[in-house]
Amino acid sequence: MPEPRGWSLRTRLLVLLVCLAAALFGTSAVLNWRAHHEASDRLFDDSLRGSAHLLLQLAEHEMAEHGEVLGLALLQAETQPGPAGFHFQIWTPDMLAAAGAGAGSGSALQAPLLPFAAEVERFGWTTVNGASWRSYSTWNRPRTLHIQIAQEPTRHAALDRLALWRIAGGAAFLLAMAAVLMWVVVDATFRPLHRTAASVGERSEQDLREVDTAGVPREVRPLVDALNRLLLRIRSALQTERRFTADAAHELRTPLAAIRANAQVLVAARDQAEREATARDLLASVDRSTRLVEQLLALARADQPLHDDKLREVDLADVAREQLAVHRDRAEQCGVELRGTLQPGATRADPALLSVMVRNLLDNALRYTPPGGRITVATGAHEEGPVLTVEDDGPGIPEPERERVFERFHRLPGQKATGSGLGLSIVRRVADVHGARVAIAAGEGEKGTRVSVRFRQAA
Amino acid sequence: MRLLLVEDDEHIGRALQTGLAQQGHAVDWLQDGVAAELAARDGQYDAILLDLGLPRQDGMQVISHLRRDGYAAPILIITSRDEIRDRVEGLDSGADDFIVKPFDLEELGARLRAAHRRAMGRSQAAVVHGDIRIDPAARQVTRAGLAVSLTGREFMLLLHLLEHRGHVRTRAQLQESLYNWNSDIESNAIEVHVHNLRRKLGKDLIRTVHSQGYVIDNA
Ligand SMILES: Nc1ncnc2c1ncn2[C@@H]1O[C@H](COP(=O)(O)OP(=O)(O)OP(=O)(O)O)[C@@H](O)[C@H]1O
Ligand SMILES: [Mg+2]
Repeated sequence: MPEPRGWSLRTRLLVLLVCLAAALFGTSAVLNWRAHHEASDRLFDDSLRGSAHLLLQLAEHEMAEHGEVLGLALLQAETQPGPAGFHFQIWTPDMLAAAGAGAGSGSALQAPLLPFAAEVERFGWTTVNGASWRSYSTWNRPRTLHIQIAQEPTRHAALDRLALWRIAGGAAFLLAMAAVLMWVVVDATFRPLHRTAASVGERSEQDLREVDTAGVPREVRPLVDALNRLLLRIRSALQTERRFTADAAHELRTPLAAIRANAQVLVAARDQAEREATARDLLASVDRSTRLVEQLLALARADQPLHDDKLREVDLADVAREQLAVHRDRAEQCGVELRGTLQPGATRADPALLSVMVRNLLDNALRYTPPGGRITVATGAHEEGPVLTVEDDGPGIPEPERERVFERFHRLPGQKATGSGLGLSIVRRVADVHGARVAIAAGEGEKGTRVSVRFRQAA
Repeated sequence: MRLLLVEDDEHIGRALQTGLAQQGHAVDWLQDGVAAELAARDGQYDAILLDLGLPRQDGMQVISHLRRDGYAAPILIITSRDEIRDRVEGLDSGADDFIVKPFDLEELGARLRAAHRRAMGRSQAAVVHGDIRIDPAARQVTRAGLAVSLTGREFMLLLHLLEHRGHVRTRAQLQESLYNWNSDIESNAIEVHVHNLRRKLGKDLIRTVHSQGYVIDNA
């Protein structure tokens, strides 16, 4: 497992869901509590109003019997503020007027300062002994008595707190339940993903089979499909690699067999002439395997992706000139005329790879063109981009073979001259990494071979 | 033995031809499949050594064509293809042996002798005739337990006559079994060899059949 685990889709989803649930449950709890609060306030007010009207009735009764409300004063004295205690005052209109004029002070309650008629009843808050009390004032029906009553809301608050705990507790419990359920559901939902991941994770590096798409959710399908496409590409790349290794080993057998056979023949040579001829063949076989290994290395090197830091501004004419100079002697030995018609053709390329490419083309031309032939290397800037061509007037490559000769180890059937069959594969590979195109055509007058490499315009 | 070698690789071909000649065989070397098939049909080869990847006609085709027409001599495949599939296919198509490059010349010689022996219906490596005993592998001949020294050609001639015991071999047939195309043969070469063999192994061993050829009679 890699150390930084990255963020987890599952954890994130779970956290988001739980937060969402918490917000919903919280809101619901608050609303609930508010509703409860209002209901309990109303209940409290109703009971306050009930008490007020009861007292008013008592006071009316007293007034009718005694002309005053002394009894109530007693009652007042008895109902000192306590856990459920309340204060009240009963006023007649004249007293009220007095109070309105500023009298009646000393009382905890202020007389209403508004005109009596204005308000029939009124709830409010008043301060008693530094605490906030709920107050209520009203008239009796004939408006002969006015009552003011206040009650300490302590009990009320305690009740509210209890309800608050209940609501909050309930919400928390439900939230916990929901979180557990969500965890179960989310986990089950993510299981196929884990299965897929596990099935990929458990594989050996040899196992490049496609990942099974059965049971993979639609959302993950693109990822699995992309993975499968990648696996397919890796598979085919690996297959090419394997085939190449097998081919290379196979191709090495022939020169090795020649070396071994020649060495054995040399040991048992019957005369000096046989010894010399065999030794020469032995040397040639060694050279051939060396050449094969070199070509294999060149191909491996050309097969690597091209790095930007290798790219230079290169003039094809310079590369061609250099290679022409290198091959001049050999051309003379072969009795072949070697010419260059070099016009500047600038491109961005890896100069080392370009040299390898031109060398292989020249090598082919020299190898397969019989003495008396002529080889021309041309470079120049065409409209579509810089072009390099190597042309000879040798035997040529027949039309149907012009693609196949680019394949690794492919040589024209019955080819007498030795070779490993890799030269043109290397040329094609170098062209490919530079985005250039190689094509084989017949040379001038439908004779010989013309290989042309078209590069991209140097940007 | 008179051998047909079909190998398109210049270096291996030449080395094999020389190497097998060093072992006393007369080897004709061809480089393409069509020529090989033609040569096999009208030559008297004791065995064919055949590469598979050949120009003009694949080695496999050469084998199946020859075998289809009842060609009997042993065919040994020499190839750099070493997969089981190739071996099975090669042997099934009628080859007698499958030798993978690079190979050892001594081993190749031994396999050739073994294939030849099987073709001649012998199970013993040594060929015995009266008090004469021939060991083809060591190229040694003893008479009554005493070693007799023979040249390569004399040895091949003796072996050839013994392998065709009771059948008269013409001078042309004998020449063909001893010399490849490249040799220039003295017109009386066979007579000289027969003379030498009689001198070394007793004059009754080889009987001259007048105006026909020579024969070693069944003991
Ligand atoms: N200029 C040419 N004229 C004729 N035939 C050619 C020419 N160039 C290539 N060929 C044919 O194409 C085949 C493939 O060429 P390629 O350069 O890939 O391999 P090679 O020359 O055989 O080996 P090497 O890897 O040593 O260059 C050659 O074997 C040859 O038959
Ligand atoms: Mg080449």
